[in-house]
Amino acid sequence: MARIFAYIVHKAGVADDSAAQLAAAAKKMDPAASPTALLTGWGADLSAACDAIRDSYAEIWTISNEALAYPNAELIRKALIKVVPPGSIVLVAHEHFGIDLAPGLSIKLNSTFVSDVLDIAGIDGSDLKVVRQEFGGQVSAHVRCDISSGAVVTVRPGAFKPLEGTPVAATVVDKSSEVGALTAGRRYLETIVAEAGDVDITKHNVLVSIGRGIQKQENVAIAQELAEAMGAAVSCSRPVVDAKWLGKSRQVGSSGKTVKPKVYLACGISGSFQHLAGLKGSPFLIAINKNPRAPIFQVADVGIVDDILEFLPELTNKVREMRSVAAK
Amino acid sequence: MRGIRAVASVPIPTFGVSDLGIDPGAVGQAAAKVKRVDYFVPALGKGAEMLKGSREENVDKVLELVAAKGGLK
Repeated sequence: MARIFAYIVHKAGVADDSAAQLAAAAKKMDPAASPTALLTGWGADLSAACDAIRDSYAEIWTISNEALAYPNAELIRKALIKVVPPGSIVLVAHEHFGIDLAPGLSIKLNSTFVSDVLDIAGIDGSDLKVVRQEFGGQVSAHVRCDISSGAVVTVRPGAFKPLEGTPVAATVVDKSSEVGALTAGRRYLETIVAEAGDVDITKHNVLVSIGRGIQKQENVAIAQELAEAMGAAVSCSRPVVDAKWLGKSRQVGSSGKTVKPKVYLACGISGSFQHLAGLKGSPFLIAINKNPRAPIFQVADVGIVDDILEFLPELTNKVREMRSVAAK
Repeated sequence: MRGIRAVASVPIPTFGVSDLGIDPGAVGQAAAKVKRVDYFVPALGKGAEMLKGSREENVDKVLELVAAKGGLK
């Protein structure tokens, strides 16, 4: 079995949740594997991110370079091809950054590219069998990948639950000297902070999140009533914003906001990877959807097949009832 | 409309792999490193614990779970 690496995304010294998920994916691929984390960056942020993943990886390779202070996939790709041994398997989170990094990395490493993997079905010789979703998640497919010359695999966020177990004491190996000077055709200019909306959904512990299943703007009030009763906020997936039923500041996902609530009620949300990419911190995810085949049920903790337009008002009434009993 | 009519009779060339200077053995199904084996319908809620009770029972259960997870202020 080839050596397995996991590229770790981090920001301001905080490792992305996908760090532990990629370790779990590597173990599913090869239970005997001891995956190595790849961390690129600069200064205190890199050190902090390194400390944050010590529990998940036995070995961490760091590449410290001022040019990598901002995660420019073009530069990181150039750095990785200098240190990753030929024939390796590199796991990357299937998020906007991973989608930027991974395809070109596989070309440069002359290895197989496999995107948006939800599960590992097994390994047979030099063939890796994975599960991917097709047709908007309505059907899944077993896909066989020739990994004899290595592979770059992007893994859907949330698809692999972090492993529980004894923390490992990581060995940190500094690979910076193997990389040398880095230049790229694109460069970081500035970060544009998104405008704050009426409600900051990133600050709430409970989110009642609605998707296309809410059907029309008038029905948004059903979710708002529930959120109000629960002391939560209403968030949404992209179709709701596209339809202008809620503002952009309420959108969760790769093109919206990243949230870390304790509880996330996904109401009428199919569960695209773009939406799930905005969900961090492993919240308790309750999915309500009338489509029993909705992909959200593959990653939720609890699922209910029901019509949200009927289920949510009943839940709201029950919460109010409970509140009034508690107030007496 | 006139533009559509004008291009309707223009021949569209069809190129083969060899016309493009590509090794036929390096492309197509035979050379693909990633191949779909089969399609299947995923098990319902493989990842989720599916609540199978009546709506009222499910509402109660959701409320209980949300409260247990610290989701009710």
